[in-house]
Amino acid sequence: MNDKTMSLALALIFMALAVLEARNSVLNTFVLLTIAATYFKGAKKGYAYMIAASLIAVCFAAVSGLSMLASVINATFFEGQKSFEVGIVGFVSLIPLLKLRRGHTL
Amino acid sequence: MQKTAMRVAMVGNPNVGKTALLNAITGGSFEVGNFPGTTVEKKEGKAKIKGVEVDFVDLPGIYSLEAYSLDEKIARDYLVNEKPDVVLNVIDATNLERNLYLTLQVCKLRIPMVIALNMVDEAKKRGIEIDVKKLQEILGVPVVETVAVESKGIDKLKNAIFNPSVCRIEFENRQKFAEQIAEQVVRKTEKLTHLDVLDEVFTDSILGIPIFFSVMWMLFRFTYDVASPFVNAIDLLFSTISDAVGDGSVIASLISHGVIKGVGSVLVFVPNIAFLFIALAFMELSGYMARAAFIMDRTMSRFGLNGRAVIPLIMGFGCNVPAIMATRAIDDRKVRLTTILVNPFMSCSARLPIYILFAGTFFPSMASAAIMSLYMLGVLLALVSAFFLRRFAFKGEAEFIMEIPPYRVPKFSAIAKLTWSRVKHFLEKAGTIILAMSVVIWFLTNYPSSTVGESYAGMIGKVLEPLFAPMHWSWELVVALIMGFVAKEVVVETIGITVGDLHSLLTPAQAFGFMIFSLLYMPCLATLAVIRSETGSWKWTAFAVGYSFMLAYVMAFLLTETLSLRWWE
Repeated sequence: MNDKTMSLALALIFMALAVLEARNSVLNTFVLLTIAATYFKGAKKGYAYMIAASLIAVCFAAVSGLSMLASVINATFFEGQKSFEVGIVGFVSLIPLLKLRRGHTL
Repeated sequence: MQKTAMRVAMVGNPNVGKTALLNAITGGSFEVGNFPGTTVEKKEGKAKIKGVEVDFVDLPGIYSLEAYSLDEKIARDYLVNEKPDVVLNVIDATNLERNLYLTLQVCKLRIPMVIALNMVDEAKKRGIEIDVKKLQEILGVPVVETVAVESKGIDKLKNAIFNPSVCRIEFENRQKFAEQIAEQVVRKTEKLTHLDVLDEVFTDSILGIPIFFSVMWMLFRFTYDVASPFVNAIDLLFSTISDAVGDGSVIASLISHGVIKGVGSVLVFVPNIAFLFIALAFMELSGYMARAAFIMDRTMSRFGLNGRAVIPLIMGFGCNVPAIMATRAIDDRKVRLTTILVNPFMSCSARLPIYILFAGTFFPSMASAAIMSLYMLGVLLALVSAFFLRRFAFKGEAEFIMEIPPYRVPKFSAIAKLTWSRVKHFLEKAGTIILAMSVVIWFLTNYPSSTVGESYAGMIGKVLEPLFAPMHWSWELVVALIMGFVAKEVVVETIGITVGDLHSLLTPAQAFGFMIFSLLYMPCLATLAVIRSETGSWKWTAFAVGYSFMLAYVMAFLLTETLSLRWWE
């Protein structure tokens, strides 16, 4: 799969995640749409946008994962509710970053 | 105890790795404080070198010793008045020529010097090679290559500190001479790294700002959501200790409700502050912070602020305490002070229970819109206040010289050590003030009676009630506002105790006025303590109280009257 196709595919994935998240959190949806938009631009303009979108997506996935863990701890030991974060799917963006590590040329 | 045998002053441009170097030399045992009489951060550490104890002082990052800014003045005054034994000039190897401007100025002071040529690994990645031997010959001082974040070159540097030289180089034009030196010692074969291309995206005219706000939201969630179990744990711990001590006697009541509650109310912020500083340090050291400040600078400068002010303002939506601490990232003193003073207008999460209670009771069909309008009003008043403060109180052009550093993956150990130093500083400064005030408030709410209405706080509420007569607020609501001074969440708690049915006390217009007053009236005790510690001034702390109260009163009155006329009368 070349960069532009991958970028487009990831853009569509994040658009779908944004639609899923729309009922739960406006701001999470905003982040997912921003990632999708950056991937779309990556499909047109190339590599830099795909890498930037991937970095943001992975960071968002990490924060989502940690927030989920925090909600589990709160629900278990304190008053709180467990929450599921769709943003955790953002770890799929590790694929283009691993490709970078394997020696992608600019 | 061994006497200090040597004092070393660390001088260099911002973002050259002075703190990382201090960390590497001292093994992480450095302390964060302020330079005397200022709010400029000072880092100091000790290291034993060849059996001798050496003091290191990390001076503020500066571009010159011209003393136009407070940081430059502090650095220059320290070098001239404190007369350190050695100057350790830290230079960024990826930008030698620009760094040499300061080096050549420091030469003029004729203090024994050593140069740490830092970030040589970054320079190599970029195809930059420096002839260290030649540089040493030209300047006449030891030059040691280092990679501070990986503690490379540190032993050689420590040896060099014991063998410094005085730079006796003579020149006419500093800029020209720096250029000539760079031409002689630097060999470049430009290489674009994978991360350099990110600048095209992060400063994109359309995507740059949404990306910035996305990063801010992540920062926010990390600071509040991820830290929440730690916050809950500390809260539970202190509640448990307070319950265990009980209030069976006056001393027990003082300890449990005064001291423990007071200390607890400080420590409960520590996880949020720590997580915030971890995230900010990550952003700063990775290089993204500089890009973010660059994108937001044009918008913020319309209000007399600069790009670095936007992060503390956004953080204020969570809690003003860590948000005000985040203003340390703002180099310009005037902009920093302004950002600190307007930050309380950013509606923190503690006020949300008040809005929800009142909006739910009086505006059930449009509660979200009512609450949203308060947030927007807070932002508007913060920016307008900043504009006028910069016009009249903190006049003059704001300095915003900013270097765009290279991207790098920060080391967690460096982040952790710096975070701990800052958290410790917060605990020492803010904790003492809050502890004292908590004891005072405990006294006011428990004497002469533990019933709120008959306590001194209740009496004060009844005395102040006429002041709020134009808004038609009863003494119960006034007492709630007084209690809200400790923490905004307490307003709802107090209303729950003292007031039966809100509808019997207020009309919708008066309720909205109360919400506006709660948004603006006074920073809470913890926020005031941190304003005091970060501004270093009782005058500005008192200003924060007086100005916000006055603004809250006027806005609440005007809006109550306007709304009463338009919709409910």
